[in-house]
Amino acid sequence: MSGFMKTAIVALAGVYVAVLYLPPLFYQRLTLPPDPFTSLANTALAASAASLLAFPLAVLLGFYIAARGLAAILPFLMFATAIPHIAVGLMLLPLFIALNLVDTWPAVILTMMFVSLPLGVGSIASGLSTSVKSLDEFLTSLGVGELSNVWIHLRAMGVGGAVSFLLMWLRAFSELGALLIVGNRPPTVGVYMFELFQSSGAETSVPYALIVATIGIAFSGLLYIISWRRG
Amino acid sequence: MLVVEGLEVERRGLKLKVDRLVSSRVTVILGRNGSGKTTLLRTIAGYIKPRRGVITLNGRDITNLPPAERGVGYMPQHPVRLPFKPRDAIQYFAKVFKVNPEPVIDKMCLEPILRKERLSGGEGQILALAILLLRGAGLLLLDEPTTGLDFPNSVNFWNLVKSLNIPMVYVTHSPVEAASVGDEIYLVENGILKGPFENKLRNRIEEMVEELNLYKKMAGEVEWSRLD
Repeated sequence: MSGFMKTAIVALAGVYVAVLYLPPLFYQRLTLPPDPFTSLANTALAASAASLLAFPLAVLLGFYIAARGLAAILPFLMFATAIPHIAVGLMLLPLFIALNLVDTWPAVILTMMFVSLPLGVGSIASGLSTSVKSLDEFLTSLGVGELSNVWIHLRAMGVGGAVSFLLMWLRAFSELGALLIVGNRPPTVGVYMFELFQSSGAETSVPYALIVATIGIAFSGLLYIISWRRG
Repeated sequence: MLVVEGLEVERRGLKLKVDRLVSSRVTVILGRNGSGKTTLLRTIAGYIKPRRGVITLNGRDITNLPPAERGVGYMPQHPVRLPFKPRDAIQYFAKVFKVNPEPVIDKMCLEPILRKERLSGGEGQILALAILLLRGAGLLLLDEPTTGLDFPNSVNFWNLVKSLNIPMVYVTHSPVEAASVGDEIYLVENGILKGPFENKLRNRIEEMVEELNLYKKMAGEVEWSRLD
């Protein structure tokens, strides 16, 4: 790639960030929201719990999809990524009403699990390299148990497993649509930001969006560094 | 002893027919790319279900058994990369199989490999072979195990395989490899297995392999006249 093209592409990325960041910074009436950190802590906690619970499932499903030719189940998991998540929330609502879970921690965590699982499965399935079949056949002919087999494959993914986990965590952290329906409380980042905007307009919600975006950049940077170190 | 009789396999447009295959020593299946060698090996290993035919190992019908219960060790075509340090890998599998790894380590002179942190492709294949031996499988199935290895590493692997004195079915597309390794050779052509043929080239091929090993010659281990 020529030096000019490289400069142009870096400039394009800079424009992308500038368009998002600069206008809010020049906005005249900005005040910090009353409690910006409780919702961040809630979201981080719920996203961590959801990712920890969903990750083993993602590993199992991703392994069977990649190694045992079960790719046909992928559309049934991935469809949720192709629709507004309000629909996912509406579909979960009857179950959560029946279980008396609406607007509770379990509702928030379960919803985050539902929305982050497909991303984790896809990431694990593609992260298991093309050699997954040979390693699987080698291990099964040795009589290695299923769970040990999956564990060895997860080890073989190395840092790729951590990347998948982080992707799931970020997806859970960024969820709004489904939580608006089934998990308004405890307030998570998206819900809090939406409510701030509705009650106070841009004055307090814009600075909050900047805080959240900066956290997003930090985590995306972490993801990049991990992937880069992996080579 | 492995006996395959009346086997018919159809897979992705490839038809494979085996009237009879018997293996009690190092049996090489020689064939061109896409001839059905791997299909035959994977059928014996239990990963492909045959349309008809019987596979027995030491008198036991294994045709419909899952891979883990067949008592065979299978090394696939693509190199197996185990996510362990070499010594950890041996110890892990020794623990899984509840065996003492020392006899295999001694038999295969593995100690120099086990001391390493990372292995080359050839060393990785030797480690994978060692793990198959740890399992104590009645038959080894090796699918082009030297694919991607340089010549000296391939020769090392061939010598190791010959020294093990274990029944195995060894698939290759290389006549040199077939003649170097095999006690008997079968040929797969157009989906039909022909043979067995006695390996009459063995002694000659060993000399030829030695002759062809330019790495050794040019490194000065063997006399080689240099152009000045």
